[in-house]
Amino acid sequence: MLAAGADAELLNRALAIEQRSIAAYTAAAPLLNGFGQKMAGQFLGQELLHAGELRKLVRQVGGQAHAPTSHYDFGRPRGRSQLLALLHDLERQQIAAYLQAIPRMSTPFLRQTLASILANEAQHVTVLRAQQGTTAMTAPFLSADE
Amino acid sequence: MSTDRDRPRSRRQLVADVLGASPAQERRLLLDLLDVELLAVKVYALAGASAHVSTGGQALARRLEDQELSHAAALARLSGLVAPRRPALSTTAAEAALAGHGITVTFSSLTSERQWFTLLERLESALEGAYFKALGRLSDPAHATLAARILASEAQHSTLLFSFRNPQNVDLAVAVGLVEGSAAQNG
Repeated sequence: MLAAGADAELLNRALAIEQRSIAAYTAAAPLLNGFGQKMAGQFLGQELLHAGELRKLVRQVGGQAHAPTSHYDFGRPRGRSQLLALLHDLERQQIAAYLQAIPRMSTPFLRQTLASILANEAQHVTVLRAQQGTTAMTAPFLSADE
Repeated sequence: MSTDRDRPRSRRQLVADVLGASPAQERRLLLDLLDVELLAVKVYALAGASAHVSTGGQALARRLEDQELSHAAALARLSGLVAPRRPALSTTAAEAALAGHGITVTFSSLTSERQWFTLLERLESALEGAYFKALGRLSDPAHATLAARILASEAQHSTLLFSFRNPQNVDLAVAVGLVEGSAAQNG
């Protein structure tokens, strides 16, 4: 069950970053307005879906899904640009976690599911970059530098 | 809503989950992905040159064409082939290939930017579906990682295409939380 244990550990690591992102989007959404608020709400719903998928996968590989922590420290982002920068940074962390996990997963099914989540995080980054006034997509291959 | 991933996996599916594809099947999967990338290069080239597409739309199409060509080159290298140049695919052959992906179109009938972009959006969905399906079979972690990075790139293309026509509609630009592409590819 070595592979299952390693799978569960990597899945829980990705879950922890999803849970942190859920907390960040929950906190940021009311502080944004217009398109930014709508975007944060949409992405929050998708992060919740990802967390649910990851919890399900952890159970499927025989592990126990970690619960979110009771408090996350995001510093004190001021204004729209700092909020968007915080969300962008969290999305990059998620992309890094999935890119690290995918080749280490023990089955194609697990890699496939993580890739479908990764692709959605890449879309989030595309929109966040455009909102920050930078090029929405820079390279043909997704990397954690997006 | 119930989806495929909610259903119990059959014994055959569970075995396939563990074993993945044989080396020959693996190469076949990569070559199939290469085919669909070369088709995308052709379709983007046509969109980028169409008089019915605005200057901004043409620029976006040409940018995405270059990225599809980069994907094709990476897949060719993995498959042991020489990196492809832009494909010499006729429009008739491209229309037939699109039909194979569930997209029925005649290029000469596309007379507006909206029609061209609808085609490109469907094409990206087909690409996503092809990569998602392949990821369920690819055994080599390096191949799977490349496929995952390209799937993410295709998803970004979809977002850019929808955003180009609907800049304030995030529901369309990032429509689903799990990117699996069109059902025609996944069936």
